[in-house]
Amino acid sequence: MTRGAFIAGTGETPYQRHAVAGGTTARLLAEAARAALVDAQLEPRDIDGLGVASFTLAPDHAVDLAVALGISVTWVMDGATGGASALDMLQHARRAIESGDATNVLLVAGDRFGNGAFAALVKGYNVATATYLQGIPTGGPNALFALLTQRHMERHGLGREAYGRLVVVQRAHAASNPNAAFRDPIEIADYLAAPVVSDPLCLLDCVPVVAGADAVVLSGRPGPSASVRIRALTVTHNSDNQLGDGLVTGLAHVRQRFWADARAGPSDIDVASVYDDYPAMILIQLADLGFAEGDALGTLVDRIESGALPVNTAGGQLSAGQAGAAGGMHGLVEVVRQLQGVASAITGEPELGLVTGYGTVAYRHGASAHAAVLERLS
Amino acid sequence: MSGVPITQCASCSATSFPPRIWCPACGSAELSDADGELGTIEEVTILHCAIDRSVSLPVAIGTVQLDVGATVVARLEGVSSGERARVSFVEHAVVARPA
Repeated sequence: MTRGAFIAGTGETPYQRHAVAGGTTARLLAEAARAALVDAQLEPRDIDGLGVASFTLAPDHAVDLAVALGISVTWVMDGATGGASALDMLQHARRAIESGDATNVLLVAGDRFGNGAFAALVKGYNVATATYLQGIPTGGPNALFALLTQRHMERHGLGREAYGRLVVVQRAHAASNPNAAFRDPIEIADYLAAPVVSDPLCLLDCVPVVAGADAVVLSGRPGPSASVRIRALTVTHNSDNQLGDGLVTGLAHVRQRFWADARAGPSDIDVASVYDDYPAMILIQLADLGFAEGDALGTLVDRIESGALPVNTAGGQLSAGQAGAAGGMHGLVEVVRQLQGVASAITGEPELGLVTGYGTVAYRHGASAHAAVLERLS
Repeated sequence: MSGVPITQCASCSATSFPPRIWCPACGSAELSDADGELGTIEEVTILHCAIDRSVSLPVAIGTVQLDVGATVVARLEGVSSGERARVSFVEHAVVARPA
């Protein structure tokens, strides 16, 4: 018998530009986890599954965090795909609950980078990066996505302003998110005048790295507030064998099955969290899922800017911040909160939400691209 | 003088960079090592800031389409977009210079 899997609670710590001295990654993860448990009205003893995604918890893993939190589990997972980790963990946690391997699964993600830790992470991110990119030097993924954005601009006839409009509207959303690290409104002129990081990318195109954590509780039973259920969840890894140009993700290959599973289409989506490591990736993922059919991407930018398609409604990583491996979880938490009616700034009465995850820059671009449709149960 | 290490499939001739263990095109484990040296510069970016203070900036970085078929990212020295380049992999750095 398959049971349902409901998202019963969420938690998120305030995102901090500078980690509080004396704190630890484990304590940050615990803070988000406790908030999610309170939201789900559960106790630690109710948790029998744990998934963790964190760069800086090392050398500890999920089992070590279970020990620190005093919870005994029958399901555990270490998410290791960066921005795609949240949906990777959700994929497996959902099946664990549906099969009866666990009843209440806690998924937590977050990071706290000490001095030099982030620089060390991007230099030694994987063997390909350490061997062939670090020595250039690229100093992280910004130059790679600068090249990708140039390819995107050329392919679709876009100027910098198109990407800037996405950045500006997400900053406007962040104004009502008390957890966001960057909330001061900006205008397109601020974006166009911002310092260049790697042309055409400026400072505002690159996610600010913050200390923070996010958590969700997935349960076999509906939660106390309006319940959210997974309608569709599709995961892809290495869809193009890193042989493409990065302008098409695995989402394009699975989209028919994805929307068939969701029993919906792009026009049914009321709110979306689209993984925003760079503005171009927002447009790429949405186009891959069919949100720009027959239209130039400029029309998609119009719809995001006007709120006709609300995207990254808590500011996204570009304004709220990227708490390391929590980036994807932040988007999941925000869509769940929108569907539950408890988000900082509600957009109407959303019934269906979209969440994407993107990560594992294997060499030139991300190798993991996932998407989920969540529904509010009345 | 060698280029970047690429792998070439003995079964289907497909080339890959970074080197693979099984051929992504046909699944064969019979991959041989080869060098990718000559290619054409595609897009270029100038990196102006990095969180790692030890990185020497600014640096020109570009995509190089190798004649053998693979695509690499290289530091550019004296070459621009659209030009022919010779790629080397020396002292941990992938560098493209005029061909």
